[in-house]
Amino acid sequence: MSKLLILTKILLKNNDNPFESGFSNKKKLGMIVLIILCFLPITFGFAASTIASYDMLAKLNLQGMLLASTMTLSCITMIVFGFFYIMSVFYFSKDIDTLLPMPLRPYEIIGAKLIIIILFEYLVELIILLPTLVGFCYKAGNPIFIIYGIIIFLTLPIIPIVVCGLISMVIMTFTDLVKDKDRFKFLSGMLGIVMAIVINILIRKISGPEALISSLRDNSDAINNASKAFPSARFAAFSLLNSSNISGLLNLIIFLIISIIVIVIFFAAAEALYFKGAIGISESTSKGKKLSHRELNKSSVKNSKLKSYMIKELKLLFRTPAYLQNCVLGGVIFPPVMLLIILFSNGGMSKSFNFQMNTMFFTIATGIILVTTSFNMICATAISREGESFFVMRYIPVPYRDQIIAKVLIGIMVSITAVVIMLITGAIVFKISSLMLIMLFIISVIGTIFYSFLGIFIDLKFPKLDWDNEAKAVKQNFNGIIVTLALLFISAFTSLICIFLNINLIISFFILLIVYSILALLAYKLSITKGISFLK
Amino acid sequence: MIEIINLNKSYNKTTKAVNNLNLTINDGEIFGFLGHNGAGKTTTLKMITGILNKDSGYIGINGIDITQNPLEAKKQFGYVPDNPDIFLRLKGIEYLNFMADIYDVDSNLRKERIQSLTERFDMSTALGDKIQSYSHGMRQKIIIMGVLIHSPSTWILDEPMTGLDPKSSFTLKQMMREHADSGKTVFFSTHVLEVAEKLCDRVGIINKGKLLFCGTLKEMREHFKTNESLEKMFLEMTEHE
Repeated sequence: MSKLLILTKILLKNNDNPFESGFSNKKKLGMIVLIILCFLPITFGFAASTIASYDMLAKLNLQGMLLASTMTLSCITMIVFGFFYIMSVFYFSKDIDTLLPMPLRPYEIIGAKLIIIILFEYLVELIILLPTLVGFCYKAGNPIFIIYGIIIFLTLPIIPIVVCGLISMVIMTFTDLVKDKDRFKFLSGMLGIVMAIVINILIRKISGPEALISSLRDNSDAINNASKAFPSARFAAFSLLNSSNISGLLNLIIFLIISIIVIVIFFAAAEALYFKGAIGISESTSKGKKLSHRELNKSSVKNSKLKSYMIKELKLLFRTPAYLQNCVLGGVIFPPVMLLIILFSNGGMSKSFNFQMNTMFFTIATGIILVTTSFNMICATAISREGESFFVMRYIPVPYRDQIIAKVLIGIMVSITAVVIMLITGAIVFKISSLMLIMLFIISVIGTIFYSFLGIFIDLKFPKLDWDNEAKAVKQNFNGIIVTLALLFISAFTSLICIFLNINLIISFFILLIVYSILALLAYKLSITKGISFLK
Repeated sequence: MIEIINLNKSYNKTTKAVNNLNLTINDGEIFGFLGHNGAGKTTTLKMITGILNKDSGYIGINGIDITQNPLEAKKQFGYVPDNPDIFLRLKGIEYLNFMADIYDVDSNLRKERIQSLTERFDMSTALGDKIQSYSHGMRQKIIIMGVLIHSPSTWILDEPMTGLDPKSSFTLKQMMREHADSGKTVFFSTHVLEVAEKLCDRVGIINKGKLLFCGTLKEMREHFKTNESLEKMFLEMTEHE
């Protein structure tokens, strides 16, 4: 047991935590505060809506549904975010090759990794579960409720995470899929995107008081069905609901016993299965075939430095599963899909979207396009992705300016692809006029140039180079969030000005054109002057 | 030729990694840079190649200042880093072509060199695979080939023999000798004394950032007035510090 704790401590220190980044401590703290501030409205929203709907549900004696639905939602979210995180921490992390030769039992390795994942899940709970608990406590709380609440907050992640862990262990032990590690990572990532979309639809069905009420009204069993999938969440909810009497305690004990049993099963499974899946995971396949004369001739054609550098960037971007998912697919496929889901989830295809092609539509559409396509983070992680190979940028005889431009060009290319797909989706759904399309396209292109250079400038200043698996370079990187927040702010600001000053469409277009052109120019200048000085 | 004058580098303003280093590596010689782990070898090599900034001093490669004219200076040398785990998702052949493009090697010449290097390093069946699937030694080889493909006049190699099999190690040493004999420069670091003893025209011994000795092995032996092996001398020198 003590080895488990020692290992946990070491793994935690060995940058296995989500706040590890290229920032100094002070800046890191600032970022955390900023992120908390961003989530604060959502958190307040959850708490406020709990308080608001409590009375109405209490009349029907259904207030417990609030707790049950939020807990189920927390479990689902933890599974979605947890599953791939678990896969990468359990099996694809670089430390596996160091840990395997040590005289450690499988349950010690996997137990330590499990604790780290559970710590990470507390962040998810912080956003999703805590507000409801606080809101509920405000309405119906007592000291025992608070104690139960803390216990449940701390133990709730165990079951969903262990379930994910068990599934991933079974998958890794019994499938041949992992022979090609890269392909497996990519496929599981695609599955993740699909799951995220499904969850999004689910969340709309089961979460929040409105969904509760509509589910009551329609007599639908969505919530009941969902919480049946997580019986443990029901026990947790009942224990809180009945915190003032003995049945609350009983439910809590049942909940804790289930959690303990699950952990025991998990450790037993780890003892039996973990090494089978983990040993040999770092092997990679090779064909070992000699290149033919033709292949050699074909591949050995001289290219310009810039083109060659861009090809290298593109290959690394598309061949690294974590980058392909997060940067390319996340940035190109996700925005239009989300757009469609949001549009059609309330009312379906029957609704027609006949927006007026006015200033409001134009400025808001620009904002949406720029913010969502900036999710690709290609430029905001361009330096971070270099990781240990960063030093190569310094010794090759290619000017820093050219290297930066090559990286930014790749980012702009992918962003513009995303813009075009968004516009096509939009044109079909909203029946956008051709003039509007052209205006949106022009502003979006200039906007992508702006945020691409802004992204690389921020990443030059705060590169996160110290990572041991590629997902960390892009997933746990604040630089992309900064860019998205900046865009959110700029587009909200310009939209409000154009809408409230009642500026007509054409003039609004020119205002945005000028604003984004100036910003793009500034970001460019900044990147190739100050940005380069960070590299030296 | 590499010229280092009054070179200084400290970390955190307290630890001197390189302390007032003066060194000239002439054309036509193999120079071995010896020292313990953490003596300052890699730091020095990284400053020469422009990966690290120096605090003060002058570094010139073929007379070109790496700080004043970094791009021209970088074209003068080829560098083999101590960690060959770079560009793992590129195939061997793609990496070689990338390096050839970066250093302006034209198509016919690069094809010729790829063929001859592949043969000499016994890599013909590996070029079509991703570097990720290579063993440590193979990664080392592909990095060395990436340097040799642009045939730089100055070679800067950080622990180049680590992980190489005996045949490749022999090939590399042979190539280093050929390169120096054609009037060009080879500068490499090692802590394997035997390698230095057999290969180097001159050696420099560095400890705690300071150059303790620089000269031929003969001079070094005279310096100590004994005929003991370099290993003993080396130990003696570093122990006295």
